[in-house]
Amino acid sequence: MRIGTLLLLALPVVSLAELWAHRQFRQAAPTQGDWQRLEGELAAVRRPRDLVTVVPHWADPLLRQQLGDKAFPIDILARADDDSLERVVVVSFDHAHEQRFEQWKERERRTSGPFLIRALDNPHLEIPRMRLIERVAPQWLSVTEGPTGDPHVCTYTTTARATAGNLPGEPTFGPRRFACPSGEPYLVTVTTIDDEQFAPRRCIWAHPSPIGPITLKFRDVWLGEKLVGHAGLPWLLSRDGAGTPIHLAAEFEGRPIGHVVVEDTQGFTRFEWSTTAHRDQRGDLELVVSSAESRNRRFCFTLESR
Amino acid sequence: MSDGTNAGDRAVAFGMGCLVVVGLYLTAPSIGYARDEGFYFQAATSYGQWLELLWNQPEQALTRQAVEAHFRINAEHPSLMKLLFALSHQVLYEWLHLIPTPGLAFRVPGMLMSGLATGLVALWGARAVSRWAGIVAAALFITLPRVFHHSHLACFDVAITATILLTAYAYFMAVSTRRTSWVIVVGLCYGLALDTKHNAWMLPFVFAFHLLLTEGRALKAAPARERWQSVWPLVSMLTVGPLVLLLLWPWLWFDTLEHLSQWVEFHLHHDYYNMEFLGRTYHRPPMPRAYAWVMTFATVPLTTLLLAFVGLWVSLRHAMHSGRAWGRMGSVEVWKRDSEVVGEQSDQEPSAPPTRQPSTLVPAAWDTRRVNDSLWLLCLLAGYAPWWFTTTPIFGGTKHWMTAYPFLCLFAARGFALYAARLREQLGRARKQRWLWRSVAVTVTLVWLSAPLLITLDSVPFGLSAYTPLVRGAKGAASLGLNRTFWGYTSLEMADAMTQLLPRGGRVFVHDTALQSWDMYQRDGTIPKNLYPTLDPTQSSVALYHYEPHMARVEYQIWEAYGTTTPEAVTTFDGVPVLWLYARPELAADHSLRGAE
Repeated sequence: MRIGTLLLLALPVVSLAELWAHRQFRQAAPTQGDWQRLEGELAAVRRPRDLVTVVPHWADPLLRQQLGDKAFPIDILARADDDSLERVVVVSFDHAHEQRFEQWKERERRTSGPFLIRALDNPHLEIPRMRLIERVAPQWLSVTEGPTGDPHVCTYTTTARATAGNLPGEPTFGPRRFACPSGEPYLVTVTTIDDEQFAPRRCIWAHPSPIGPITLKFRDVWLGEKLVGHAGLPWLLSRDGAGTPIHLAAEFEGRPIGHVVVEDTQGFTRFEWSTTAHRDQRGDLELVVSSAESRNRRFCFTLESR
Repeated sequence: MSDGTNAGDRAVAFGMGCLVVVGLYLTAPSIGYARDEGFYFQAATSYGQWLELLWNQPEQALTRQAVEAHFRINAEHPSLMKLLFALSHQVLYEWLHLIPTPGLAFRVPGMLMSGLATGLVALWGARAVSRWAGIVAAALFITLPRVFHHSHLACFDVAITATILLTAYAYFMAVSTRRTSWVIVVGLCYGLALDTKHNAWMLPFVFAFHLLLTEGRALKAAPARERWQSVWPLVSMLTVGPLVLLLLWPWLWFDTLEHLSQWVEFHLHHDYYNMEFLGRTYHRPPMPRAYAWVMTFATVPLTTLLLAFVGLWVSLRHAMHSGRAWGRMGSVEVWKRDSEVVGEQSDQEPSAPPTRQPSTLVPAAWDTRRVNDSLWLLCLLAGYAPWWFTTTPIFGGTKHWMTAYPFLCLFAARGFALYAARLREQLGRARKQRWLWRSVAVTVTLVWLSAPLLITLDSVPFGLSAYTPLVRGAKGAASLGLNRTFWGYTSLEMADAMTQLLPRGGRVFVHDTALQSWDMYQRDGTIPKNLYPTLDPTQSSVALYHYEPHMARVEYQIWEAYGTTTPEAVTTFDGVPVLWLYARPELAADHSLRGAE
């Protein structure tokens, strides 16, 4: 028999192999029982404020469903960067590998059914002194809109009607916010936007208004070596780059300490201002957010002193 | 009007088509309504009102005012399927009460179109190869998981697949028989294709190229009458086709040129949608050139692909031999009487060749099989043609080149025929025992079909999330970053969970599910009427989230609105999350679903 004929006649084996592989792949995913058992194992490893993550990443909602909000606080899930994470607990299965934490030091390893659990320490931990995102409240912050000479006060409220714009619209604006006279979306609040990888980023929303910049005055800010920030716009709405650049300028006790320009297509960008001259000082930090045009300038930022 | 098949072939094709429709009808209720179906339900309802007006007050229905009022909606797509959806709903659901739910009634024409496509594949396969190979090709077609899923929907993708296949078949019969009846039929069929979806625009170019490829040389030397005979099918398409479109699409009855140009403009400057491919979301050019090919390999069972490749190889080899023979001929003897024509050259049991018009002149090197297979190949390539350009939006994925799949499966028929012939040879004398040969043939066929069949059955109701073992199934595809779901069609999976969380009703954020689709669920009775849909998560008590990377921002809106990152329920396909449901924490505390699965 010729080899070609032999190969041809053997082709149905491919069909049987495909059938077998199909059955295998269908049954290979962790079961509900596996996820439930994982919860117990993780409880022994996980510490409060640890980031818990799973690879492959598509299993993330299953892990969140299993462990609940205590393991997945929104500020950890939607953090600006990994610098201030002390530890991460990586759950993996199916030989998946988390490359993001490759340089982190493994402290603990155990298995649970199909899962491998690894606790990793951050080798470059930077604990912040103060996070401005935790101080968006009237006792620490006042907000105005408009030019410096004629500012309009944005009043703090806890009873505004919450809104969210679904896919093409604004992120969620909760009931707690500094509501500016120009109305939505010209307000200051904490919300979560999508970055250039569609990952969550929790940040301070500060949309420049039609009558001028938005000014945020934080009281009693404790400075360290530097101020580290991240800034950007909701990626899906800004990625086509149709808007004018947005400026964020900072003054500490009346003295300029930094300025950053953010473009639409930049994504969620890190910036850093040295504050060694004001190290260990406490005082007022004024941030002015401005842009040549106010339309669709959905600026959102974080800033923390380290 | 003979097409060269016998009554047995036609009965088998009809039977396969019917079987498919029954199978689709039985599985349809489990498959949720896709986003676009919602828009077509709405349009079909409007068109249905016009049909009713036409029935009761024809003079009024034919006025500009009535036509524009009823057909303005969804005027970016032609009317045929929406009129059929409307008719089906009106007749089978409203009048005769034959179908239990309105949504199912709207879907029946799509299923019939799938039955038509399957039957046609069987018929053409029988005509060109053998009845058995035709059956295999038809079975492989309907066991393409994505085709099977789309076959259930009140959409146009399977319908345009069917009408393009129908037009190609009629065109082939027209050029190979040179009969006037087929020439007219090809024009009529093309009109139906035009009135189904804009994919049909490409067909005349494909057929013109086919004509040049198969008869171009001979046409030069042809007598005038024969030259005309060769181009009549194309002329019919370009004259009868548009007339059918005009007749069946009332929107074109007034301001015809303006409406036609709006239709063309809409599709030539279509929005760029977001589509995940290999971990990256594309939304503007340059689109990845490999998209269509990789997605084909990831969603078409390997068995089907292998048979198609074998068939393609067989056809190309035949074409090369046939081409060489043609090349040796001088132009003087290029045209001969029909009786001298090269006949059908199947690998096994060909059906009777088509009967031609008596004393018709045809090219001397006329080789039905070469003409047939080159048409299949061109139609297959045309199905993929837009994805040769990096500027083509990649839209919603595989459904946009589904028109290529019948031809892929017809090549699989050729591959199967070669396989069967070789197997028969190897059986030696034993093949003369009919029962033995038949048992072997049936067993081998079942082996061939087993993987595609099982993969397809297992994909219900998550057809758009189904991937083949070549990419390690749904899990492997999710890890590779291939699109997991779109069109928000899985909401039905959460019906019980939502009811449990909101026993006295409430507002549901429906995310990517169109409000019209939600309304249809409620008319069907599959989602309670006291679950009111909203598009603002902050105004809802429970929220659906249909996963797509670029829609992640919607999930974050829900997190902020509800103050939780914990889904209350997650719908998975083969262990991969497709849809998740959030509930406000106070609600979840009262009616927790977690751990209940």
